[in-house]
Amino acid sequence: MTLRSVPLPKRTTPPYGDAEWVSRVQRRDEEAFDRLVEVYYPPLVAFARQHLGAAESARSVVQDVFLKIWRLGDRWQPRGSLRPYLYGAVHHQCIDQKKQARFRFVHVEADAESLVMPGVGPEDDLRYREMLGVVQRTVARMPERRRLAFVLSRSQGLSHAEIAAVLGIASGTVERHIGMALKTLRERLAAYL
Amino acid sequence: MLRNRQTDRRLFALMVRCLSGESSEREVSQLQAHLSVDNRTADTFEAFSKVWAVSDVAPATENPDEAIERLRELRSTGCGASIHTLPRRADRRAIRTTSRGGARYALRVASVLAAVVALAVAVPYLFRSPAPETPAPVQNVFATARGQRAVVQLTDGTRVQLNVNSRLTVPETFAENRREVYLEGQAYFEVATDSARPFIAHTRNAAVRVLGTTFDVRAYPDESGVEVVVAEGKVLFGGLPDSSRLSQAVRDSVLLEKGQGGRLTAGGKIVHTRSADLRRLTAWTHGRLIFRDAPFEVVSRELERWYDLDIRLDAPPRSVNLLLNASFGEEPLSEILNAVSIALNLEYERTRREIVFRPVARR
Repeated sequence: MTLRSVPLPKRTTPPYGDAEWVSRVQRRDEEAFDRLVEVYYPPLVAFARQHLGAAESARSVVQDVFLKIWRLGDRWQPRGSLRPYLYGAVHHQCIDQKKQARFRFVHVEADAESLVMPGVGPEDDLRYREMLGVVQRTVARMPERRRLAFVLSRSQGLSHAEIAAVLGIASGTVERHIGMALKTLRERLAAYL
Repeated sequence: MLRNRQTDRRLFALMVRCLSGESSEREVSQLQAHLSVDNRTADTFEAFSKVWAVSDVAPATENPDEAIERLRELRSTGCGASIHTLPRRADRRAIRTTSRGGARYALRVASVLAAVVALAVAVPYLFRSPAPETPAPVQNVFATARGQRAVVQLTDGTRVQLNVNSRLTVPETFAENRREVYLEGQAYFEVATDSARPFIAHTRNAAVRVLGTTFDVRAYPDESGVEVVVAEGKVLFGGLPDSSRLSQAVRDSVLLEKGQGGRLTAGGKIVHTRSADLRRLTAWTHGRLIFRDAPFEVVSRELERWYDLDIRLDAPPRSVNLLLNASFGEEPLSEILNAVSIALNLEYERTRREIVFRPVARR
């Protein structure tokens, strides 16, 4: 067991630096805006689903955030780096949405088939699916902040400082949430480890 | 190796930091050192690594192309129904009123701003095909309260905008030969083409049968009749007591083409309009409320639904004989109430969500 075998979250290489990207979008550069959507839309929707459950509301919230940015033009002044800013904007939009909604949002578990683990042979497949099911149920039942902190770290690859900025909590708290999430998951997965 | 709880805690924190890509070079080598000499730590770390490996519960699987396309459209047209908190440029609209006697008043009312809550609604993400023995299909109900609008994306690709205080019932899985939904209230349908499975929108006493088209249905239970207007394509519109008599109903139906409208009266007659006021009837999908020669009862019912209000008229019914012609967008409610009051020669008093209108006192 070496540290190298630990899979780290993928990060997409952005086409521009933050400052250039922001100023292009402020000037309503369509190409820069489309790239912004291309890079950030998929992970932001995945994140919004942790708030809202249903994919359709998640998509709509994230699209609203992008449209808002476009419409603001040069009045758009994101503070700090782009990535935590965008996650923060989606986070707040989701909270607003939940406040407004008199709908009951049902938390829908992700489709296990869409989660692919490379290098898993067919004989491990069933076992792996079972594990995934346990993981999904466990994560879904975590307190909201813990779930969001864990997902932002594990699936979205945000740094602890970025997560702290998005959720408005201390960086040390983020680390504790991730640690607690891992401990809980390890307990629930004990039979498979 | 001798250890205490504090060491355990410190090691665990180190593992968390390493797994989440947060550790410095130094921390990595510290953990590495522990792993090589301490089997228990190595086992623990291996377990946590496995947990980490299988716990990607929110992978970014969404394809951005559709969003890029949709956002391109929205930023060129400048309208989007799923936008609920965006500040939009308030524009000035002329509001004029006509009295039944024919006298005309014209007045300008400053920007009327309706903070329409367009709420994007949840669509269950997984529509799995049911087991073969499954009896009655599971129905999903999408309901908006007063003051809420919603966009519902159906599994067949059909997009439905649901107006305030409306209910759309959709089977979790459509039948093999038809797509049937049930509507109470008002909805704007953009139906995905599927010639093998006609799309049928039922209301309490009518049905609209289509093969891929865009149309609006209005069937509020507190209004008499059902109104349909076609924006794109063709629909068959007819009274329909029950869906088992579909063929009979189709024979009695009226074919409505693009730009035409139909109205099923409370008495069961269908009135066919060759050139329907599409703009007015579908204004709500762009967050606008348009009144044309609307008496107080209609205005009040509409505002109650749109803004979630309880409106009362402190005067004998039908004593307000002015009609409202107005177009409201995103103006604040107070401005809209002012505009309505001036136009209909009324005063109003507001206590939170309760509004009482009364005729202007004569002096």
